[in-house]
Amino acid sequence: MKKGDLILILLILVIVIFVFTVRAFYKDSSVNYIEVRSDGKLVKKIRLTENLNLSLNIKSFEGSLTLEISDGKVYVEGSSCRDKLCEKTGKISNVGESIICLPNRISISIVGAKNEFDTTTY
Amino acid sequence: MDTILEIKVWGKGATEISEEIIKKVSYLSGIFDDYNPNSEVSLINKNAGISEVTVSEDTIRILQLSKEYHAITKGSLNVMMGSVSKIWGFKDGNYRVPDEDEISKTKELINIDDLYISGERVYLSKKGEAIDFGGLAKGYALDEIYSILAKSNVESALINFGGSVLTYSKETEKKWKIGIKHPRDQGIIGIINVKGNNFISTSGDYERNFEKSGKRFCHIMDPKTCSPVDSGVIAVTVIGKKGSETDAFSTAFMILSPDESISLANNNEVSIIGFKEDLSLFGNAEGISIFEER
Repeated sequence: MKKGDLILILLILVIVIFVFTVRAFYKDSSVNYIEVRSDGKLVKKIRLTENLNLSLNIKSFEGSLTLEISDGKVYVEGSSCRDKLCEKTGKISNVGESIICLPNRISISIVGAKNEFDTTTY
Repeated sequence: MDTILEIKVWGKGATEISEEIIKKVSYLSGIFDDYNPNSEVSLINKNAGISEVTVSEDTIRILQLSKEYHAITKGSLNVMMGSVSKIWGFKDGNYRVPDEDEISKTKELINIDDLYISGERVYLSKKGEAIDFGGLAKGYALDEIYSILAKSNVESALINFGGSVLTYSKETEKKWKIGIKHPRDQGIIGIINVKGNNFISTSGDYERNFEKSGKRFCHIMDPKTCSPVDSGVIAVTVIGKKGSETDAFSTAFMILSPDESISLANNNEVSIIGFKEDLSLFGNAEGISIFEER
């Protein structure tokens, strides 16, 4: 094994640990939001809950898509784009996951509320 | 006090200050906690109707404040509710609905005038009477923490003591965002935007409660009925400049009607944000203006 290989393995390890740490951190946050951006602008921010059932039509200058939210999961039901990669992405439900429709310049991501405020009063 | 203390301190001497805060809070927990049989409060309660007890300066101060806030809140904040919490099972966790006879007997044991303070001596005049600092202890501790911070060189600090918050900053314009726990769901119901130094206290029926025959009974007791509150208010957050005050008001505002609470908040220059059973929002102008719903 060359020195370069070792560095590469170490680097991958570091990345894996980092990803797991980030995931563990986000698992703590109990409230997540769906952020929808169209042409770079935030057009919708919705609290993602288990019992939320919603169908949304998101428009941009380039086209539009239909977003379905059910059982705590988010997916694209139909899109005017050609490649349909957004539809193929499937269902997302965890913080950090995104569906991006490049042709329509629409992005859907799930964000945690954790960093949105300093602490919680109860 | 069986709760979580979260300390964040920024600036010079942060470690030392954090340690000093922990020390002070541990000390106060030791003397104010009526669950601890050796605390000063337990000593006062055990000697109710028997003899007076010599206590520390902190206990005298919190008792004096208890009398003050009892008057200001028209009797809603009453530290003499220990015997009431006990018959509902909140002291030992064996929750139950007491019968009318039991309830009317405890009504005789909650008179704040039966609490005598003389110098460093305290006396409860009737056997069975019991002090419970539940609605005041965390706020009092935050006031003490504030004094420690104000004497130090630290730049800013954020203290969360069992849900009661102190934001501290030498720079008066420093912004803080504090989430308010959702009373009926996970996560937060909204965010309050404040600047500089603030005390933020929340009371809610979701904290400690039990259900019987489909009815929710929470740990906050209404002195008028000697039963868990039933005002239709499910959570209240109070923002002000003194921890013991915001703590006392948040408990009292769970008991009083929203209108009474709003006028009391205005007279005492604190901000109030509250939620009713249907999750509808109420509050005074100051409270509503800093609240951001989620």
